[in-house]
Amino acid sequence: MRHKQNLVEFKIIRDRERCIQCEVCARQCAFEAHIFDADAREMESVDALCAGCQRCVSLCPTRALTVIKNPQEFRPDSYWTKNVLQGIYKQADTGGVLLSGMGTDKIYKSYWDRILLDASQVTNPSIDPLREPMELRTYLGAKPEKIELRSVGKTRKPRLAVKLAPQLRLETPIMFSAMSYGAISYNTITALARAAAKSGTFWNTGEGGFPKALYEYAPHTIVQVASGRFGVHSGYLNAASAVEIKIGQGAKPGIGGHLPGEKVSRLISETRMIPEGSDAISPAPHHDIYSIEDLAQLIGALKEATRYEKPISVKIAAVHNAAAIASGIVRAGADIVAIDGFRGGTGAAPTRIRDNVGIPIELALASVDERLRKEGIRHRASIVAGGGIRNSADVVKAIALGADAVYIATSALVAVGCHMCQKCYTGKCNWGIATQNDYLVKRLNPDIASERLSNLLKAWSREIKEMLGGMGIDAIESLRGNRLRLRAVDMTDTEMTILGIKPAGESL
Amino acid sequence: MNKKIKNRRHKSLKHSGGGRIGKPGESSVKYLIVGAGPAAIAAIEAIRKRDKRGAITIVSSEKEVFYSRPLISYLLADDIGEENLFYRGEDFISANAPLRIIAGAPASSINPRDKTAAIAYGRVLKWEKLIIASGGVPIVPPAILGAKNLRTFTTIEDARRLDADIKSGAKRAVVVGGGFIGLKCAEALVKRGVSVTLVELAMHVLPSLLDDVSAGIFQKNLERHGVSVRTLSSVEKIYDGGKKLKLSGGEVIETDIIISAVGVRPNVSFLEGSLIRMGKGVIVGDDMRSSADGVFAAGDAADVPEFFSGARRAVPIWPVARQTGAIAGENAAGGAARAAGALTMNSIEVFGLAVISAGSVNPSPDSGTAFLDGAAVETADGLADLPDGTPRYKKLVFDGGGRLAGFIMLGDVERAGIYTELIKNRASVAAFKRDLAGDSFGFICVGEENWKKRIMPLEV
Amino acid sequence: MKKIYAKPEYCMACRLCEIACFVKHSKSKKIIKAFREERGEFQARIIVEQSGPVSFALQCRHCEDAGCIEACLTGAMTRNPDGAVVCDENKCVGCWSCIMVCPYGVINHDRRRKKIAAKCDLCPDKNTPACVEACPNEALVYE
Repeated sequence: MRHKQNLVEFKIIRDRERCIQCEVCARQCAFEAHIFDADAREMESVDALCAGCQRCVSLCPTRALTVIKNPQEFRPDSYWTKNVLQGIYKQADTGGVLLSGMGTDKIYKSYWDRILLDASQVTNPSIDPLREPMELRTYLGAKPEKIELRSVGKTRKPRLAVKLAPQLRLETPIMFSAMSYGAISYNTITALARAAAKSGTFWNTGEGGFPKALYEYAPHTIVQVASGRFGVHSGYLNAASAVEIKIGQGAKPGIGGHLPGEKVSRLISETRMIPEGSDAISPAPHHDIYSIEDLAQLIGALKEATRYEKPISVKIAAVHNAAAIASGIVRAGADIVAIDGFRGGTGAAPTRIRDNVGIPIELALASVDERLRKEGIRHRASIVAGGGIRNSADVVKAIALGADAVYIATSALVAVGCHMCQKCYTGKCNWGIATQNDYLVKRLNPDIASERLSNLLKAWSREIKEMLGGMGIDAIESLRGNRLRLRAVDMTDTEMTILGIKPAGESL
Repeated sequence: MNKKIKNRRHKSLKHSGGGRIGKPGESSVKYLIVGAGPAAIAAIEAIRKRDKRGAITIVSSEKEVFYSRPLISYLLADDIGEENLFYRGEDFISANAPLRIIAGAPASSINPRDKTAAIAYGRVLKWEKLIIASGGVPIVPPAILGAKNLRTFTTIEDARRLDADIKSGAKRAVVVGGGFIGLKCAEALVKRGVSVTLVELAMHVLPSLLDDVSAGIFQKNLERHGVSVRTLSSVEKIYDGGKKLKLSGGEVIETDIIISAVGVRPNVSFLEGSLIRMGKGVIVGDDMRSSADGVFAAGDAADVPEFFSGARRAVPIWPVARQTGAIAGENAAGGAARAAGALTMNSIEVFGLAVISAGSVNPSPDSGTAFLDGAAVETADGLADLPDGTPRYKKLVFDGGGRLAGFIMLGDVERAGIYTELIKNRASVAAFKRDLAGDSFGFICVGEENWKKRIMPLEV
Repeated sequence: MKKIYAKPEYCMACRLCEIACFVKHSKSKKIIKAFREERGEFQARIIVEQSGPVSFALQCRHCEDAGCIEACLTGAMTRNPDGAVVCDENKCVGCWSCIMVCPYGVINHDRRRKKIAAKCDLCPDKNTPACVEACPNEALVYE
């Protein structure tokens, strides 16, 4: 017997007094959870189809709709929860692998929420960011061993004697993380590119390729070379500002990517350089990288192909040996190491992998930073941390733990309308984000979306300045790796040791 | 002063007319317009766009000027008052000065060679430019011509007369003519409590506007509201001064009043002997010029180039009066405008049932227009009734060249103008023919190249 | 003269503009009351046209060479000093000549008190027309 009735996740409540049968909800729901019954002349809702995306609730002109969790209750069981049972029912029904979109929603300790920041009091007074200049500018790339200067010309002006490796210049230490065109819509990547350009930072194409029409944003674009090598050609590499080799991704460490053939439209086929309508499957490993030496070779090849003009980044998922892996990556010649924690989002991943594989970014970041410093090679690459950065406080803490910059993706999508229904893999995103459907993609207006993204970066930058100022710091560089400005609450000794921070209450 | 100049002055007195008084009883004007309807108004407005000071004189046979004749049926039905009939008012006259009105003075003859016009009371006017916009006069079939209770339905005076008839007890009326005027008249009479019999010569009512299917629906609606309809019928004989009449089928009807509403012919009898080339009305080119120098014609009085064939005939509808009046005015004032061909189009609503039709709606081998060879007709007669029970019918006629040539929309007339525009533009509609005939057709059906530039913001 | 323009690339045919126009021209001006009591009596003056995924909202273009003004039998359809084409309800007799000539088909019947022609009036008592305000995706602009 199939358990459809036990798998209903949401309940749609319609206030009949307020419903005017305008049919906006029916028109806006790609899951077809609302229909207009012409005979009865009233709106009807089908709970079983509801994805809980809140689109209808947001657009209903009379606020007649409420979507809540299905209040159906099994006998209370903190171990065999309703969610656990439903997973088993589903798999017994279909024999399939459970899929989810976005990052894991399970209850795991959040270290960000247990780290507290310092503030200045009597000595080292705080700085008012509205009255004093605050430096958030960040350069990502390999830094020289030491600064050597020489005097130049009649006036003997000092100039740098060493040649700097290529750098990315960010006006704020926040970048948009990799989200492929295919997983998200063309309008969404347009918005990301525009906002990155406007805010003086970068966006990442993911493995979706770099559409030619967006080449005007190349000075703010990082292109990705992933295991499927989609869309990789010399024009692609040279158009952008940096190249990122994707080894892994926080949401699904150890496995590759999958874009269903239905989502491979003509433009995606052109951009990714694959036949239209065919599944785009990225294998788990790069089939030419089976050792750290192979990685070094690929990094070298990319540097050659880009004439040593662009930083090469390597992105890994945060896993147990993140520190050792990062060390190897830096020694292989990478200019930037990007670590993606297990809270990272995705368009589609097997639920069990998403929820159970990988480690929190806070711990990975701290251990990578510590390890590279110990080995004396911390200056050879910048660290970018991502995977569940939710607000400016998370950014400040990440930098204090050692990151040069952070990657945001889920936060960016939420800014442009995502309501975290986790149904990205269906391609029916009602907010026009994670879809290629001609009707749905129109719903994301890049003018509005890019402004919202710029607003987000502006707001977070303001808040970062406030927090820095509160600590008596006027340059983000002074906070980088400065564990002493952090304190821990509700953590074990081991956790505090790994993070390298003291418990709250302990002084310097 | 030497002799030469004296002679010249003498000559100019004889031949010019520009603003100076010549012989006694004669007065001169730059623009003389015969008629005071929509064509005349459009002509005045067009003249004033180019010539702010040339004197204009209007001569009208009616006492009331600048009113809208189509509105008399609403007046008779008591839906509006007399003051609502006026299309332009006092401020129009002062805004377009110098403008003189001579009302209640029909023109009696025109001399294009001398550029004079004789009007009532022996007055003679000299003109530089003449615009004939004298409209139409009602046709009366010979069989009823002698009736003592005969009425027509063209002018405001006609409406007043019928109103007086009703007030003095008239209870039964026979309306001869089932066209536009006849139906509106019948509707107004029924609203005033008069029982009406409608007599139409052709196979169905509104013979030039509808086809037999739509006319059938229309007639049912008339009968439902109390009008007795006789088609393929005419008045054969009248008795008792018109109080009794016999129809062609033999039926005898008693009535209080007979209204002749079979149509209008151009009001141009005053042009006899003028040597201006005439058809039924004044023949004009697409610049509204007649065969006589300085003489223009517009509106119901003119035989204008027809839209499809270019042949000259009267197209007595309001939009054509406005359009041709404007062209005549502009060209009289020195312009070189050309009118697009006059397209037949009509909108009529009787007893709550509306119909809009335009162009060629009854294509047939003997309709005499060559282009209709291979005309295709798309009919949507399975359309569901509107929620309030109004029946719906739609018919589209295409010509052999893939263009829309005509349409009828009955019941649900909204969006009809999209079709009218397609006909006027002679647009090729082959690509979206299916969408056009469908129930949910709209402006989006006319093709992206057409709608894109009309609704999107301009590129900066 | 400011007019309403559409951006088909962002129109998602949600028809919230039609709803806003309807409420704006209703008696009560309150959405629930208007829909409950006045629905079916008149229509919105803006139409969302749809053909597959392509859609846009259409209303009176306030044409410079407005055919409706020419065709109007009573002189009810005129151009006001701001340049907008407006229909004087007191003069209109509902002959539908304007509907006959409007190339966009954006004039409709309003038979509430008497039958008159109704069309977009650019919401003269508002800074921004109701439809432009209501569009959730900025697919209508007023410029």
